[in-house]
Amino acid sequence: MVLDSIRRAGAKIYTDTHVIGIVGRVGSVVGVVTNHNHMLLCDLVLACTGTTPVTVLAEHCNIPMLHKNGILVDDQLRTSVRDIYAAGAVAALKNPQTGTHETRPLWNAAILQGQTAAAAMTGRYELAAQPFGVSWHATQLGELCMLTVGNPQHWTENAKTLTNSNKGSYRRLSIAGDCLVGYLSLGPTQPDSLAIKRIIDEGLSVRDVKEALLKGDFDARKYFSRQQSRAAIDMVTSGKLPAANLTQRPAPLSYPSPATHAILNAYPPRSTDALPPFIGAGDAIEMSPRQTEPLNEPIAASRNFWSYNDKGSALIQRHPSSQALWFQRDRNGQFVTQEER
Amino acid sequence: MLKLKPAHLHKTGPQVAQEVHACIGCNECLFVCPALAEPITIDVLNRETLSGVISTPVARFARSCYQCGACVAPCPVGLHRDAMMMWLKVCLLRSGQE
Repeated sequence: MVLDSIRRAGAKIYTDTHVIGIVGRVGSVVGVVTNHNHMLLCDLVLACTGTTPVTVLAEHCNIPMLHKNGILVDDQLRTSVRDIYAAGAVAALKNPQTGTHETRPLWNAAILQGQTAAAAMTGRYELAAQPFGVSWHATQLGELCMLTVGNPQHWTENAKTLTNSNKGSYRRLSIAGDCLVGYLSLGPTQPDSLAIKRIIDEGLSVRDVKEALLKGDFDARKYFSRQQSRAAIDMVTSGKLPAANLTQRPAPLSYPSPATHAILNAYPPRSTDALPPFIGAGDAIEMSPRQTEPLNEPIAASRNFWSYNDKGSALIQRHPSSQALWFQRDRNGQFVTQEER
Repeated sequence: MLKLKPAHLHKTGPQVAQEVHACIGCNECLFVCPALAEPITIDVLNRETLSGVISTPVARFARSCYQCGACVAPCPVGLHRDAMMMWLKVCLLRSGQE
């Protein structure tokens, strides 16, 4: 369907063909040579071969920076190293649906991440307060509109897939329970793409609008008006306020002054430093004044970093070059080192 | 005196900002707009929608928008310019420019 649409727009498509050489001079292109020994005349060559995050900078960073298929960042695009941010195709954000970190090499994500990183670096946290949510990509190829929200291709467990193929249009829904988790749309018209993203981000029920989403005549305005009406009726009949929206990003954290930070870095913590309060398995607290969302990697990157594993043990990495010390709570709730146990 | 009526907005402020950020600036929505009578470009409209500082030509355009929805279909990325224009109308009402 995609290829037909591009052909209808007047483009020639060569499948199973690779470019093995470009003919021309510096600054001007005459054509490209293919693996079938054909020469295709052209004025411009665009290389669209996907992207691979370049993590060389992270690998050679003096302070270990967490990276795996990209540089791991939290929702404010902060890396595991203080005051260093990553944005664009190199930043591996946490996917709210799968919990894994993955890059988003898409134009919209690049714009948003650039703005968010700049806002966070300049202290304008109110501008960086919008959560990224699931991935979203919309574009148009010739007369064909394409939309992908979430991950409609790779849902196998606990999700059912609905597809609808009509004349010149195709739609695919991935639904877990009553909630939409992925949406793919190809067709002559573009649906309200960000409204569908909102439905997935907020986990709203699509029980009544499945058919409309499949057919492509989904009316977002009507749907959200009805949602608001239901919420209002529930409030009036039950007398209870609606639950707080937990998908919102927590309030931005304050940073210390640069002078304080320099002093803290100059003096590594002593072993007699006060231990942080126990807050539960999997949570992380940084002893330096900055707090950050825990990344799904062993915490060994930044100095003064506290974390708890799933057994309730606490790990402190005192210095990148030093060995990690393990602490665990005893029966009295006091922390003891591994040696003491 | 204009009487304020509750407007049913299906997009809130953050969502309108999200839409503006997702705009690719192709101008297709303004090309088909029957209410646009001034040389306003999409970058100016987006900038003023985000900042809330609305110039006189954009305010005139926002007032003349009658929410026909002609701008929605041509958008290649599926955005709702009508909701953004409604947001501008609300901003004008709140700021007392209306």
